[in-house]
Amino acid sequence: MKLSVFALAPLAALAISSVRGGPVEVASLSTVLADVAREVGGDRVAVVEIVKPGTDPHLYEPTPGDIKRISGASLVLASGLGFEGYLDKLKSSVGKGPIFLVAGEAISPLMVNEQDAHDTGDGHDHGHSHGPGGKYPDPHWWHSIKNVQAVTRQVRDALVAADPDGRTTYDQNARAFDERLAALAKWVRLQVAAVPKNRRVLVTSHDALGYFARDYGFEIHPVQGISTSDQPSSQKVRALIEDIKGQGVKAIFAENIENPKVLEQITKETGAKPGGILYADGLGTGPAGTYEGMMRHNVSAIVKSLQ
Amino acid sequence: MRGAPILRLVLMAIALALAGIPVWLLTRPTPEVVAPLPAAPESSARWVEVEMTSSAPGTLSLSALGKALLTSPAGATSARERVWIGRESDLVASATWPVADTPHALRVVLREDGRVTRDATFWGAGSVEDVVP
Repeated sequence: MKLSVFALAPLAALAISSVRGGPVEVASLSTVLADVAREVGGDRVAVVEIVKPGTDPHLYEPTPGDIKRISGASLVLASGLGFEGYLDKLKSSVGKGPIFLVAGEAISPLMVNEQDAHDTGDGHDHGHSHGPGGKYPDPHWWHSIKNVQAVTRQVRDALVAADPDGRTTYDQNARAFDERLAALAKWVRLQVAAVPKNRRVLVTSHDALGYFARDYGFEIHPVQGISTSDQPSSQKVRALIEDIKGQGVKAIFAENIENPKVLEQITKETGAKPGGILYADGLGTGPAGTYEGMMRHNVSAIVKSLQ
Repeated sequence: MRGAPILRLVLMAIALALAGIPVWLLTRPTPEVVAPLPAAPESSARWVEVEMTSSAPGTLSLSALGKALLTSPAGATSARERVWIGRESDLVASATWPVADTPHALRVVLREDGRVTRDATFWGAGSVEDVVP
């Protein structure tokens, strides 16, 4: 577990926070990280959601107004692993003011095959870093609860560095949230246990649930690649339809921020039923407006459809 | 004989009939030989020896896909049974204890052909339920 180098600049943060005296201002480029910051920070932080629920973070680009708000924050939370393709430019734009905590640097990423995401012949520039053998990290780390527990500790440490007086609060809040996450993980295990292993096949809009699939033994058939900007070729859609028919897949899942047109076509041609909407790239609204709520929503929809 | 066309015809008919016998034997309809059914795929289920041990008297159970595989009587500290388990299902172990103020442990050991394949311990106060990893 390594802490982001950007989080290891506590002296500057200490100076800033002690002078300000008010709540620690946290700007989040991820709805999931915003929720973690609220859980850990409690009343001692003011979280500004730069990327809001329902926005497609793959397509988001910071506006001048966003850059201004980020510049005024003490701590900026980013998912990392290439999820925010604009991150390097953003860091240069906001200067040395805020500390950037890049959460993906604290986890062991799931490596994805190049082919899985880029068989569409599009622009091939989604901001992710390519690794050896044509593999690169899947940036949707929050679909593994263990990763969120690791990131919670990382956020706690960053907040303690920014606001040492709040150490006790951050420690207590982080511990309480960690316990709830452990209970959530157990709940997910028990829910998924109701689905026979040979039915654990997820056909989704884009390839965002890899960590969930790894943790709970699912097979993923995404229509798009790792990014929502990857458009499927007609050849891929045809092959997917054959796969779905061959495996007798029961349900196909849409996402809250996707155009479900292709999925509707696949559903019609395969006879699989629509499995409901999943929150893949971040939090939703209402009950899915928290990390726990989002996970419960997704798991309930999946289990109900595949049982 | 050379001048007896009728006899020649009869002999020719006999020769053709004799030659036709092997053809008939080879081509006569015979009862269809039914090919044996292909061997059934290896069963996705197997016999497993389940041993559940509790640190305090309680009710211990193991289930798969909502179906109970083993349930001990109340007040048991152990339960053991040979159960038929499908490979396509997760196993859920649970225990309930009448005393809820202290944590108790439930250990689940699975053996196949005498070899331990899974060994997990769960802790809970009052009750515990979890998937056997």
